[in-house]
Amino acid sequence: MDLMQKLEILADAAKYDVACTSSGVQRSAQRGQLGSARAAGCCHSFTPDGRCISLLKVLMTNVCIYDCAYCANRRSNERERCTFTPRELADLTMEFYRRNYIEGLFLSSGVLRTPDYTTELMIRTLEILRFQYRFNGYIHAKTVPGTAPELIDRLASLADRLSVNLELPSQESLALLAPQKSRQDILSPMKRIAECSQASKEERALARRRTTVYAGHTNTACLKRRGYAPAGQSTQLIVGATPESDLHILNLTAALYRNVSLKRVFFSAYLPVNRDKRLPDTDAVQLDREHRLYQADWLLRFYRFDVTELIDDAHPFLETDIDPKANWALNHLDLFPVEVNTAPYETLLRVPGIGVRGAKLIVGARRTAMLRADDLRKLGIAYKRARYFLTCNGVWGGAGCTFSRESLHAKLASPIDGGAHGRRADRPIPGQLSLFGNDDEASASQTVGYTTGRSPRLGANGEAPASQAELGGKPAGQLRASPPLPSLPRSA
Amino acid sequence: MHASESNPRTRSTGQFRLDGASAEPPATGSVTGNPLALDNVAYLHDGTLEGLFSAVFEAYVRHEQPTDIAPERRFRPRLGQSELRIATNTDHAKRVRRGIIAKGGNATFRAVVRAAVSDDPSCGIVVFRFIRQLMSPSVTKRDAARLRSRLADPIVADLHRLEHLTLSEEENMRQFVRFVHWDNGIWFARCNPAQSVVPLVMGYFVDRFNDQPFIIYDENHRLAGVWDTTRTRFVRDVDVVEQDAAPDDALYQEAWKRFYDATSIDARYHPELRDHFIPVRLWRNLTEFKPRRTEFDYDGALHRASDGLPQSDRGKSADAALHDSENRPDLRYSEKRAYDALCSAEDRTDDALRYSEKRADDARLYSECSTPVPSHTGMKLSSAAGPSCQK
Repeated sequence: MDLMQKLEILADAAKYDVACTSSGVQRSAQRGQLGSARAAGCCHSFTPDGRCISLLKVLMTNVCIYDCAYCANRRSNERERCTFTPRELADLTMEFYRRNYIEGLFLSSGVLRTPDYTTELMIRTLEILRFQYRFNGYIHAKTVPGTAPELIDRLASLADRLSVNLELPSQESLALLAPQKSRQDILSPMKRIAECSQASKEERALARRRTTVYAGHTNTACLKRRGYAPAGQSTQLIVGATPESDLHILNLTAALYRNVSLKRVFFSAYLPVNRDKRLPDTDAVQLDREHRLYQADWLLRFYRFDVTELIDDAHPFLETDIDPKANWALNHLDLFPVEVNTAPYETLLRVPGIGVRGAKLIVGARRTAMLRADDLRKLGIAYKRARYFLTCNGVWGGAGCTFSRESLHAKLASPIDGGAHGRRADRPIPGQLSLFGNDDEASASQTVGYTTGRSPRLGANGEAPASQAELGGKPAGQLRASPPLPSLPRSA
Repeated sequence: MHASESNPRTRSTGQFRLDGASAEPPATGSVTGNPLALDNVAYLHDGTLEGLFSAVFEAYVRHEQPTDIAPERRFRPRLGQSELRIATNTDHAKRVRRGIIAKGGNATFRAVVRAAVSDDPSCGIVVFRFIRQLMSPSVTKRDAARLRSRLADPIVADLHRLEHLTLSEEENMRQFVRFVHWDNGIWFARCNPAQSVVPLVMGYFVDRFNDQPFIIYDENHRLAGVWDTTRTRFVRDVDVVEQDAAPDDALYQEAWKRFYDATSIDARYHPELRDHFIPVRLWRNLTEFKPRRTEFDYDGALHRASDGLPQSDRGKSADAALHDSENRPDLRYSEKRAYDALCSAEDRTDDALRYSEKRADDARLYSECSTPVPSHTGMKLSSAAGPSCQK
């Protein structure tokens, strides 16, 4: 098998790994070494599904001794199997990097023979890259559950970011779908990486300050070595394969950020790749749910939200027709509207339509000028959404709309733009009549029709047609003019 | 204070200095001190950053408020407008730079440079107005450092907008420049940025690829940044004669295309999102959007690749190759000049016709690459989605 075929097979096998970030570490280049790393990362291309390609994301091997129900590479699947040699993969990485195709390497793997053997292959690859080719770019390595701690340490000293896949949101689900993996196998390396990474960071900070003298020696030698996973660690879990609620998932996410100081938690909408009795028997991909979870995740990490503010036991799933931040604002209308010229930064962050960048720009711009609506538009915030929650010099921006939950909900509700192609293009709209007499649906309590993804959608609680008119100029959902005719709804 | 000797039109009248230690504040509002000052005048410069700064300096010297400052090649006069050609004077430009840095700091100067190299036709006058605002005595030194955050001020907002055009184009270049390995050892990248950002991103690439000699050629501004592993040079108004690619280059280009195709997930197909992230105008220089080879001599290419030099020797051979290429110049330099990163406020040379042709080219490429085709699952896919989506 030639290199090209191997690359195709192993890239195809790795594509279900979500993480493709090259962020978290700033490292300037050194003379004679190839590569550098930027804290913000860099996306070098985007696939036709809109996901970024930042790293050469491949598996070391797609041979696997495990038999996880959801995985395309599980042992019981009949697939073409192959393995990169460390040298092949290192060469490929260097050649791609030199052409500015990639920011570095994302190395994951199926389990070949034992977890330790697999990890040693990965370590060998990284050693060739780091020491022989003097590669200074970004490397993300995935740890295989069940690997010896010493090998993980070695991997962490070569890579920039490590990740341990959580796979599924709960222990029960893991026992059901991935019986050969245990929660302990996943959590203990995670904890170890968190502790060692923190220790290494502190040690380096002390050495850099050069004020602390340990008994007998100053410990500046650690600055010469590579740090322990300097870009931290991340994880990934599958959403929709098992019945956990958003409440459960978000609480888990917040706990992971708090306890093992993860940089990111990635959510992956479950894609049916195998036929298995344990898996949900549906063709639907919960892309919208994944989108809302990411929005909530951003609120946790950048907007100083607490998970209890976003979701509670009474509503264990995030609203699909309105984003979590707008939903929070609608539930706390007593705090709004806020005066844009005086409100503190933390309050501005909570206004729908104002992001971190917008809030900072507002704080800077209002030092010397009284901001008016026109100024806010020029700052690049989403004034269309923010205006209902702001006053500019005492004037409320939402004239023409009543300041009530219902009317604001109608203004802010927007379907997730899934594009004009693919699975998200056709979606059912509750409350809309179908042109194509659909007997199955007619018998259901609500009729279902199809519209393009861009059309406005009614609120979740099925408002009267009056509020439909409120949605704006666009007619609510025009039927697609061209075939193919829609089949049964995928997500109902 | 002395008048520019190279330009007989200029006259020395003022006593103030731009370098921060102003003995006398510059005039604001109406023109004072120069009875011959022109009312509706456009300053024309040579299109470089030095030229623009010389024009700014001249406006202070002449106590004039020009209505336009533009590169000479691109200028169309307004009704009743008089023109004044400003000769570039490096000393004057340096004094303007010193003044901006002394009052506003380095970050402000970088913002001014970014706004000045943008291709926006208004960039000259926007930069001039901002500098006037910055140097005005009503702005204290403490305020000057954060003058750029006053976005409610239209003068600052304009500068901010132009700065962002350049910043985003810089990021586009860092993302989407693609190198080809030539047979003579040089790595060559052709790009078409909307602003002349090659000098601004050259440092980033030099840092990262310091052991490989490379050329980044901006075909829109006909500007080449050259790194020969020891120093950076910029060459203007240049055409490039492309060399033969190294024997293994086709292999790795093909490998990249296949990786690109293989890593997409059919069930999440969403080309609109991709097009949002990669501007269509940049597609024509991206390897992954070039046509796939139906037949590829893998074994031959692999064989040739494995015959090639090992990684560790590659830098050396490339050095030697560069040396050869200097003796036998492959670039037709119409002028050989070293520029530092600041002197490349290059203006576009392509006229409207060429621009529309390019747009048509882009549109054709786009429609070729994203024409929906049915796949076996009944989903509509684009032909650029590649074989992984269509098998």
